[in-house]
Amino acid sequence: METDNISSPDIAPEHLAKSLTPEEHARWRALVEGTAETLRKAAAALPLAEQMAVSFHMEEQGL
Amino acid sequence: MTISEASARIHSGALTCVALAEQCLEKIEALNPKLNAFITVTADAARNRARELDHELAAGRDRGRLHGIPIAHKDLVFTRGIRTTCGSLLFQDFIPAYNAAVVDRLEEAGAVLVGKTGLHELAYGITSENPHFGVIRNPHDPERVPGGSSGGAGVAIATGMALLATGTDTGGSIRIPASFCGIVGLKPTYGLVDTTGIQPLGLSLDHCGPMAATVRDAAWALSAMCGRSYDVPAEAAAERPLSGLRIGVPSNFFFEEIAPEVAEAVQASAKRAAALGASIHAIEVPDIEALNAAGRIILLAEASAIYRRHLHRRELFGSDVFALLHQGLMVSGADYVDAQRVRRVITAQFRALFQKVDCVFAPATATVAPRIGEREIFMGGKLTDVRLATTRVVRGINMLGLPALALPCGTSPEGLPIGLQIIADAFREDVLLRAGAALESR
Repeated sequence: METDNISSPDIAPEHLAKSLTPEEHARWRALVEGTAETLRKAAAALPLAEQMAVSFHMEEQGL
Repeated sequence: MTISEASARIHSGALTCVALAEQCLEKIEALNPKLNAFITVTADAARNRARELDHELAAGRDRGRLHGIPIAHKDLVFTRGIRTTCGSLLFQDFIPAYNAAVVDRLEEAGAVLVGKTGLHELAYGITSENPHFGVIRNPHDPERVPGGSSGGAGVAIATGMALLATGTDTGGSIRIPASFCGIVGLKPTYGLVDTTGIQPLGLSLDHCGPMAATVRDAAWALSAMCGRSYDVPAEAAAERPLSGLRIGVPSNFFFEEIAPEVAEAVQASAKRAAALGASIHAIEVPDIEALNAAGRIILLAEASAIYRRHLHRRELFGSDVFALLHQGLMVSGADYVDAQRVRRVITAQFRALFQKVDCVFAPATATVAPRIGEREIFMGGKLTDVRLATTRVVRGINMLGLPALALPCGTSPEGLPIGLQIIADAFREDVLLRAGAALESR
């Protein structure tokens, strides 16, 4: 991947979280949780068999 | 001038490739200081390439329909030896050592690169208000955004600064600027156009496609970009060119929470299609709200997987992109997996619709172009985030991987373009081109 050419040391998520203000962290967490909650409701209604994951793109291309 | 008009004139000898390139470069020089569509202009290289192509044609080497056509690549499409910023300070000095696959294909087809177009930072947004390279302005009203993330491409085509542009679309980034700028944008089926050498954003959602002035131009460009042959059918200009075509018009979701003038224009397009011979069918689409939620989770996670190593350098990011990249780190692995499961189920449900209809008519955007700086708009009686309102009708189609065509279908009372989105089954770009060309020619 081309971003490998751009030099930045890897950094742990917990360290990154410290660079946020508590307000930012709380606001962004709430946004993600709001979206995830909608998703979880939809996912909870799925039949177990749908865990079989074959991409239609691969099927279309005969892979 | 359209690609098909320019191509006919070049091949008849009425226009040289150099003269055509000069026309575009003059427009760039005149308009770019105000509209900021281009980050980099490659004027000298364009003149040299156009001269070579004139010589080739004189010597009997004809590269085909795009021979000598001026093109602009979005500035996250790698161009060998030409700076490719991705609209980001991370890449401000990045000069790729190789071309994206699509650049090589279009060069081989005879396109002449006139420059690299601006975009929303890292293609992660829909306004193209770029904090590092400046706000890109809508040519129909410079106080409004052109849409994004391929905003510069939309402006370049709408103004004739280029006749063809590449765009990328991860959650609407071709179709939104096409709609706001009044041009044609085609998001092909996932995987049809090779994205090698295009800076990724969401690896399972990224598409590359053409942006152009007409449906025929987009068809010709797509042919060169993917190696399959596309055109608009000869019967597009016939009396009833859409005879036998079954068009689905959703009775749920797509016409909720959109501006009334947009709903009217899209419905009017369906009526026009019916007058051209198509049959119109009311359909119910699957749960697009759930699909959109899954899409947001997937994009948040995939984008952050690419950029998280850079996030300690906060000063390099615009505030909106920094916030999204941080939110991506907060997505759980379980939610990402659930999002992919939801995606698979709804994809199967959506594709089943194509047993009943050949394509679906929907809005390309819920509104006309918002004003620069506008963060919330009134929609459905409540204030809604501009980004969420704008991506609402397009994001899900990236999840499905289905091809979608955006084209102009009217104007608002204030004279701003309104876009129609036509969606078809996987690898049925021919259906989109047939329907789009027939509507466009009326």
